[in-house]
Amino acid sequence: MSKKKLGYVLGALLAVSFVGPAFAGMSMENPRVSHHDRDSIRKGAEHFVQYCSGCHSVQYLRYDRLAEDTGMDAEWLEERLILEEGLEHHKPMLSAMAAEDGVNWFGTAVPDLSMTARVRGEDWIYTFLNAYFKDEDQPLGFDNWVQEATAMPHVLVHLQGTPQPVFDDNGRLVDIEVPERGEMSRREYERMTAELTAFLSYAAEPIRADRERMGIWVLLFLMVMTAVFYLLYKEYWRELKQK
Amino acid sequence: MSEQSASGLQSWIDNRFPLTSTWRYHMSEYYVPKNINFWYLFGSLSILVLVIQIVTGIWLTMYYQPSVDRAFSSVEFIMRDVEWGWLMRYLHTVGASAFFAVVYLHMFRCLLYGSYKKPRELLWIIGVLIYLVMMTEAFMGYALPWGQLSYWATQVIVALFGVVPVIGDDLVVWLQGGFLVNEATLGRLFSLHVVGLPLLLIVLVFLHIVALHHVGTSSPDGVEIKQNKDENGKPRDGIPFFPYVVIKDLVGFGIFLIIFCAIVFFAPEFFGYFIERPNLEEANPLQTPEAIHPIWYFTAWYAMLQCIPNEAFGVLVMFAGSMILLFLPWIDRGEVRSIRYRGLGYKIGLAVFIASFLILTWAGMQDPSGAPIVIARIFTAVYFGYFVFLWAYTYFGFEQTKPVPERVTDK
Amino acid sequence: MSNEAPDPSRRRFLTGAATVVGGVGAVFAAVPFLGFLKPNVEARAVGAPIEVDVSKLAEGQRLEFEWKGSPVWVISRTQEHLNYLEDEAVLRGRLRDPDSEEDQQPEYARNLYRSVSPEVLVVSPVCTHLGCIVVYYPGIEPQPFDNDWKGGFFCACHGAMYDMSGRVYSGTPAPSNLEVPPHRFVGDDKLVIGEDPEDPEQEVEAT
Repeated sequence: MSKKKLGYVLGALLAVSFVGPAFAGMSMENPRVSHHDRDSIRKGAEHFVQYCSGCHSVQYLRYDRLAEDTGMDAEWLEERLILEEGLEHHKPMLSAMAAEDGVNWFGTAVPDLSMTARVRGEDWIYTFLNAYFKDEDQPLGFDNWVQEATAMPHVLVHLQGTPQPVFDDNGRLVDIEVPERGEMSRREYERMTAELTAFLSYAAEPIRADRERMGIWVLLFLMVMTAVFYLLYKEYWRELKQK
Repeated sequence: MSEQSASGLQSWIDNRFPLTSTWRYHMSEYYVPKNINFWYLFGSLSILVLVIQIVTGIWLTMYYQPSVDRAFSSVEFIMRDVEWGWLMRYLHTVGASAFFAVVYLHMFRCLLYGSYKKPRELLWIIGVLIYLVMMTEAFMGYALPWGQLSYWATQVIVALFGVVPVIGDDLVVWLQGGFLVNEATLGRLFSLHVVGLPLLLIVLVFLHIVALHHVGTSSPDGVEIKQNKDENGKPRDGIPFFPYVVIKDLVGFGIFLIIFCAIVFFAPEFFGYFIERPNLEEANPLQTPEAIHPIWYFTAWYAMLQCIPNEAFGVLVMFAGSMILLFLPWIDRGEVRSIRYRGLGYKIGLAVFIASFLILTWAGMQDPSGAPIVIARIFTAVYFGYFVFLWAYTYFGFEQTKPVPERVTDK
Repeated sequence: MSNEAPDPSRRRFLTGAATVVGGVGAVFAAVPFLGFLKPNVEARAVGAPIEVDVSKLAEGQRLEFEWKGSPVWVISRTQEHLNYLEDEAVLRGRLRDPDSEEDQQPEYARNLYRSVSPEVLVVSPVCTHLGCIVVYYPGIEPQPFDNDWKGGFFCACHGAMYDMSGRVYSGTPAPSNLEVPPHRFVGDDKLVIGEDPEDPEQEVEAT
């Protein structure tokens, strides 16, 4: 029994390690936004509230922290971000949607996106937002190259336009084309999804930009300290070397 | 104790507590070979890292909540909502990896210069025990953030005890405090991680230093400086630990801290080696994460476990892998300590041994199938084979050693 | 042997420099450990200003709110209370700090009423003696603890007494007047506790 249990656990690890995207011929793309780019993070937050926060929460990120880190004020929070009347600014960015609604509507609980950028990576999020394609076999009419048979509807389709898959002779997905653009040009759409990615990346680790700025001074100080220690060491050991 | 220059306060204390004599015995009149090199730094460094771990650990405990519902979010609370909490957390996670890095290098030094040989067998054994306690401590700490890997690693490790004949199943339930890894499991892991094992670790480190200062620091030549003393009874090739070695170690501390802080501030996850991506997702008992393996300092042992088709035997081999180190002073029968004067066979053997450990570390990170499994099997055999070789090589007198000098040499 | 003897002054200088740099490093390193102990975001949120509705506060009534984890009372004083406060002959001689010289109230409440508007007193009912919550005795009638009671607060723990402005009676154990937290009115119905008026001067003059 116990051996079976261990075997089961090890076997499970073995089995899942083979699961990956079934589509080939495409690759993950980088959003090319710096985590020091506060403007993009701010715009991403605005997009997020407009298009995503209806279903997705960012449970570990507080509104006032976001405003502080992007150099914005309480007015911006009130006007652009906080939809709930009278919500205190230190509250986290929770979606109004109940968890069971997600299960009812999409067949799965809607994931919280606080940590997604650290778990999956920025490239994953950015590529995911750009990898929807029309597929009538799917219940929601769209599939996604990054996450096959995703339960998430393509909520940005009116902005992007309807993306069409391109298959090679073997029936493998090799590209996604958008013959008729939606409200946004290709560049605008890519820019917007990059900003969304920048926001989620920030949300996953708000301190990141600050700690890097701080780190430079820490290292400079340590180098000076080590240099002084080294001179002291040389001074003390000089007499020993001579013996 | 005759204190001619002792101040009033000092002699008052010395009459009640052996302050001056302790200082002399362990610092100002503890003699260390004057030609100790870079490799001798890692002992002091591991004490520095131990202090970092204890202090940051105490601070993290102020906010961490050992409950299945709150563990993950309390860590994120520390990361985001407690001032400087992120720094404490990263110092602690990077510190764990640094601890192993430093200790592995410290152990390598022992292999290079035969620091485990007579009269340092107990010193070595206490050291290996420290390493075993550290591994347990690290494993338990790894479970606390209650991420996906925390949960599943705990699940796998506890399940290992199921291979014990007859009582295996009951043992697992008893260890977990339930039929699966649960609140009770997390509670005991937390308690042992923050109180039990640190106490044990500190006691062992204390004994390690007591033993070291009794037998003295080994030298890169394998020469005992105590055997050549001047008319005042001071070793001719020794230098006092304070101030000379302390100052030298300070430089080492500085260089270490530069590397350490570079990682803490610029790459605390260290490309997924120190904090693994799946562990940033809260534990979900219904879904195993994709491609899991333990953190880097365990993967050599994990590779041994994984590559053996029989579970019970795999577990046995894995534990044997670290336990065999305890017997090293008696496996190696060679008279010469330092690699500088040992036979070519020893040099090649040690290189192969180190290579096999590194390759196993790599193999343990790969998907357990195909080539990595085969490679892991080969190098598990090489790992154990080294000890057999070493015994035969030294026992049957195959080793052609060079003459060991009377006094320590300068570089 | 060496002709390079140790250089004592250089050695002293470098030892000093290393001590200073090491000391500075230790101070830097202490900062995060001390900062960690400061109130975290959630604890600070408890101290955030609160906006409360005082439209239902009738004359002579009292409302209770929670701010910084402690109660804050909003009390409507009657004309009779105000008369006694304004009549210096009645209470002044019995008070320890009748002019509110101690900083137990914001600058704009350093007046006879210890409030921005005479009718409404915003006060913390935490006794300044040992932190008990005082009892509100608005009635102007003899009390067991004082035959000439003109309304105010009494601390049942050790018998401290305060008048209707929260000023402490001398001869009772409490050292100072009750604390008046920062507050401002938004219109007639809303009160913000924990925040100063945008222009305190103006508001005081207006009353």
